[in-house]
Amino acid sequence: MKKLVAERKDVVFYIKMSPLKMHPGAYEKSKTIVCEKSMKLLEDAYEKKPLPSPKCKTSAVDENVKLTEKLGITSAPALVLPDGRVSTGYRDANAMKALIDKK
Amino acid sequence: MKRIYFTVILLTVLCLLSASYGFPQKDRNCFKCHTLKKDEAQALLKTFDPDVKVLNVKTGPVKYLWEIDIETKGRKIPVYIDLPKKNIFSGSLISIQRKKNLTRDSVSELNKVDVSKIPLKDALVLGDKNAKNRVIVFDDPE
Repeated sequence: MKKLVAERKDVVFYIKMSPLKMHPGAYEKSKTIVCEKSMKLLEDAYEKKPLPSPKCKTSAVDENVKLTEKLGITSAPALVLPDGRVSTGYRDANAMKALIDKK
Repeated sequence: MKRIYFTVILLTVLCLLSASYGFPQKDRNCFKCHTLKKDEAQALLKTFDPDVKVLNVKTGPVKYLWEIDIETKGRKIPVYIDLPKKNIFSGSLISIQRKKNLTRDSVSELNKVDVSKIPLKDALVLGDKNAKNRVIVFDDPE
């Protein structure tokens, strides 16, 4: 994602935390990240570094989980493209570009 | 007049013959001769899935296959039926030339969501927040 936004100024990612139930620690980590709205913390989490406990009360994570269930999204990451198409699974920068440009 | 009639019939027969005997000629559009109506597709598919609802029948992305959009168990997916209506194909159709899963593309096209209904207040923003192409990512931190 980072690579793509560096290359393509017309693309922006809005990242919403939606922990999977099979990852027991992901829920608390999601809350910490949402509280601080911190890309740095998200990157730390990807790199498996420990994260502090959440510093706020937020319902956003629960709402995201509910929303993904409603949308039928069962895996992560899931991309919702500008025209509403949903694409799940990891994609590299080129694959994401193709999706956005509908090629 | 009679002559035109005869030619039309002859062409129809030829097209049907070539399709059913497996000698399709290059660039012939067999969808001109073959038809598949919505209720017909519904009847064919119902045998295997009593809950199926046919949404749309269209000429498929490949020759000799109809693409039928169905709704079953709350999900919209495409299935395929061949021109002679003898076989149903349900699974991923992959274009070798384009290196692309055509079925997956159809699935995401059929199951589009309303992006305006997704709240973004809690989202982390990566890139220029006013950029033209806004992609919403649901991600797990682990």
